[in-house]
Amino acid sequence: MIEVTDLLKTFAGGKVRAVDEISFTVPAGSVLTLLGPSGCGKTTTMRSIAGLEKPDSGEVKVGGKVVYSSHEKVNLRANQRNVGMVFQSYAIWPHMTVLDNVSYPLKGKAERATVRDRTLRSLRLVGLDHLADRRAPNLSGGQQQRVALARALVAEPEVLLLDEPLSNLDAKLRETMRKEIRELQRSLGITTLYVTHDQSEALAISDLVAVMSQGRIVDFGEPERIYARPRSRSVADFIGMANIVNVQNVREMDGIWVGDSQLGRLAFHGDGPVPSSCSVLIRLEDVQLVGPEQADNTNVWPGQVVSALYLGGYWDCIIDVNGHRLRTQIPRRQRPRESERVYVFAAGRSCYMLAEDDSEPIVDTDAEQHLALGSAAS
Amino acid sequence: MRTPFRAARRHSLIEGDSVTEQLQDTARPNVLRRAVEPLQRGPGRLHGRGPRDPRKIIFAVVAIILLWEVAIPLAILVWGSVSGARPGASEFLSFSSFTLDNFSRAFGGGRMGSVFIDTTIFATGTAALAFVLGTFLAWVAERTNTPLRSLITVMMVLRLILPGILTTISWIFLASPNVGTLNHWAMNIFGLGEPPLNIYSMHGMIWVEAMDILPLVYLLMGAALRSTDPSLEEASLVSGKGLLQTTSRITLPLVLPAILATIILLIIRGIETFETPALIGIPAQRFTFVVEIWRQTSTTPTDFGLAAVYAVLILAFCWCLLWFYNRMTRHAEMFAVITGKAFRPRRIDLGRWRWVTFGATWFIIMCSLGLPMIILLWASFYPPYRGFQPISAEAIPLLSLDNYKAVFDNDLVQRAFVNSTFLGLTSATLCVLLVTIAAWITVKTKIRGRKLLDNLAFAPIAIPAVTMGVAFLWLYLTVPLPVYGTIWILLLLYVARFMAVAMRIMSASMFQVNDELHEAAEVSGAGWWRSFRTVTMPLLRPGMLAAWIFVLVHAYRELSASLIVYSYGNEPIGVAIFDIWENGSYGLLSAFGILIVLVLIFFSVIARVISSRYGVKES
Repeated sequence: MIEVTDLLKTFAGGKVRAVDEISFTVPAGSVLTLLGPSGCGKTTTMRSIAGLEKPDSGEVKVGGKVVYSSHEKVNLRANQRNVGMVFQSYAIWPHMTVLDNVSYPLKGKAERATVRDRTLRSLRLVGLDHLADRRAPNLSGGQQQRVALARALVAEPEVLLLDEPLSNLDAKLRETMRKEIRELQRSLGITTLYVTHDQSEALAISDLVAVMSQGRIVDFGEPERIYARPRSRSVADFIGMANIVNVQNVREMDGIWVGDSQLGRLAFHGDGPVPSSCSVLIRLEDVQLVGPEQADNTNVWPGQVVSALYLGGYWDCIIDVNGHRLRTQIPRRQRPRESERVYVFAAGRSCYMLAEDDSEPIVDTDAEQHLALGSAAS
Repeated sequence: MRTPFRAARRHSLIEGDSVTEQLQDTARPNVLRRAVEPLQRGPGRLHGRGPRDPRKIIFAVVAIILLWEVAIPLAILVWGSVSGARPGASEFLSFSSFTLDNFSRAFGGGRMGSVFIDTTIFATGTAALAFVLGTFLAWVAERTNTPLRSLITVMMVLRLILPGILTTISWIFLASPNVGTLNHWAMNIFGLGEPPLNIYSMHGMIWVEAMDILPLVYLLMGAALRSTDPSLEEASLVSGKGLLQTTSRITLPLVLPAILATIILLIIRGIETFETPALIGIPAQRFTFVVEIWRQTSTTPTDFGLAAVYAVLILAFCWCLLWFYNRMTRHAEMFAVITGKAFRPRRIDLGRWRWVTFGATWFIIMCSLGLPMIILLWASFYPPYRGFQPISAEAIPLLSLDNYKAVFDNDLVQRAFVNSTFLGLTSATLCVLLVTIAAWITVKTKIRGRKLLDNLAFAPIAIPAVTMGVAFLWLYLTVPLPVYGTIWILLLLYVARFMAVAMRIMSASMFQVNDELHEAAEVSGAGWWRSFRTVTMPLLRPGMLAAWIFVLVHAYRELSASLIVYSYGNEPIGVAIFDIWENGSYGLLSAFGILIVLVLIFFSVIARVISSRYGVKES
């Protein structure tokens, strides 16, 4: 379990607030991902937890033990924190063999006789025990990645920190590795903090996602919730591709909200009090083509195909609806043609109100509650 | 990034001449540094540990050493140039001794004009000739399908190791009007009445010096040609431009900064070189500043004030040139050249012409390396009591090993060898220790004032060797330390002189040691010392070795600065050879020279073997 409270880290003499008093908890045994664009403070947060960066103030607990606290004047060094970390560059020491690299954290900690056994066990976890005696520079990117993982796990640390571990791999290997990391984490049940700027990676690998922007957490929750119901416009934009529609004149009808948009009348979902106007998120894959017989149904609008790109699994289509360009993914069998007149439908339950960015996001980062809510909903 | 460029870089780090490093390392670290600095995250690991941070003490110690080695000698030298007192005199350090008398003597004597003209002709002529020939060789090796082109680099690196004084002497053996073998042959073959070649002329000086700095041009221009993206030229060819237009409008402008930078470095070298102007220039009655400085400090009547003025003048001139050089290489990233990326070169198929380039190439290599080595070998076997005679069939029965026996009996030679070995080993060790700490502070910490260390350690690259010698002479004549007249002044001088290149090598390898490697060790539970010992040190070892060997090899070759400050009993090898030359024991000199060359080749091969075995490969 990692508990971070009011963590503040500034650079340039306090002018840049890289991490701006954030708090969150990674529950024992689960994976939390810090997701955000470069420069949002996610790596600095992780480095503060690892002890590679000294925060300005706040508190960090790893496995219930205070490793940093400005209040109690505690600042354990990185080597005293009992964490395992995989670096973005893997940081495999080029002058050592694979075995030397992986056994490094055990030296002076474990009994000499057990070192080799434990090292090989860790290498077996990542499927590299046959390469133990190879020199580190003679490894492929994926193998280096696994060595880094084995090294991070060998001393059985309290928590595992992964700093963009997949960003240096090619696309196919990245998918394989992310599956492997997830399976390994599940089987070991190790508390994991994961940092990435890749939203699909974050969604795939995490129990919880914290979306960061400018040093703050702007959304926090389970991957499904973050994707389907992002907290704000910028989060929606960052996570996946989105159509965002402005809606005026919002009122409630039979438990569903309805408003006027450029597309036409739009029924959607929202939380809290009904605003007079707002933005609404319509995910690309939630927009379908329907036959003209449904023309009068709710959330069905006439439009014209502007462009259609065939991407193998689906058509990436832009459809002009009343002057608003709606981007969609059309199943490959439907084969839309350019300038064809069509009817589009976006189910009301998949359209969701977005908070404006300038409104201060009130992000509840109580992980237990999110996980509980998530499991109750499913 | 594991590329030929990197490989070339590595060997030039080991065997390269100081100025090679300067181009590659001033050009690239500018780019490198800019790329790296934003990545260094904040105060990071080095966050405040209070005023008693041990690193601040280390910083202070290194800063004081560097100030003492670089800034203080120069300051004393500059003061010496405007002081009326001799160094060591009690009034020297008081302001009342201020006078412009030295300058008026320097500029008033009428000699200044001719020295300036001769220095200029010599430096620019050498630069031009060496540039043309060296660039031709680089082009042949990088861009054509000339046979045996891959051997050119080996030859040039070998040439780089040879001490300049030996090749200068070799060329006197080859082309002096009296005993020059080439003259002898030419007169015999063509039945000429008088020798066609006269080495004792400005032409001779320029030729010999150009042959000496050829490898430098070759390495610099080769790197430039190698790192020019051939697709830029291919784009022009595809756009319908011919080879000529492509060369003049694409290739040339791209390589232009490298060309100008190389030429500037060559001119600096021409100004500061000593061997050719002394051995050939003096008999030819053509005097450069460097020779003048040496004469003013070494031959009676000495004039230390005048020497200081000359030393300050060439220092100022070299710094001006270096400023231009920095301006020229600062925006290196704008040009496709010097990206550090190596490309598959686009070779021109020369057809039959490749035999012409083949011939020209090996003619140049013969002049630069082959003939000097052959004549030196010949002279080393020629009996000592017969003086020196040109190579001829009749003389072959006379050859003997007497000179080699004499080498092992000669006091001066043995003393010089011991002295240089001592100087080489100690100055290399001290230098590497010093710059490793300095490079660590400048690259890996955020201590305020670390730029000062960088600048101080790098400044000697643009201080002509003689200027440095004169500065040390003034300093240790002034301060009451028992250093002048001992070997220690040479040691201090060598450390200052070779620190710049060592610093470049060490900071380059510091940059290569990614911070994450060190951090990974800390996260793995290693304390600061253990992670330094097990990770950082082993990764720096190849760089330290390269720097160490560089200083060692150059210490064995050092002549011009040593000549100013040595005294009887502590002559290094260069001075001993110079001495033997003046005494006319040519056979002894040649045998000694051959042995030195073998020692230097041995060191370089060892360095190559070690660095290829333990060198860290980049992935």
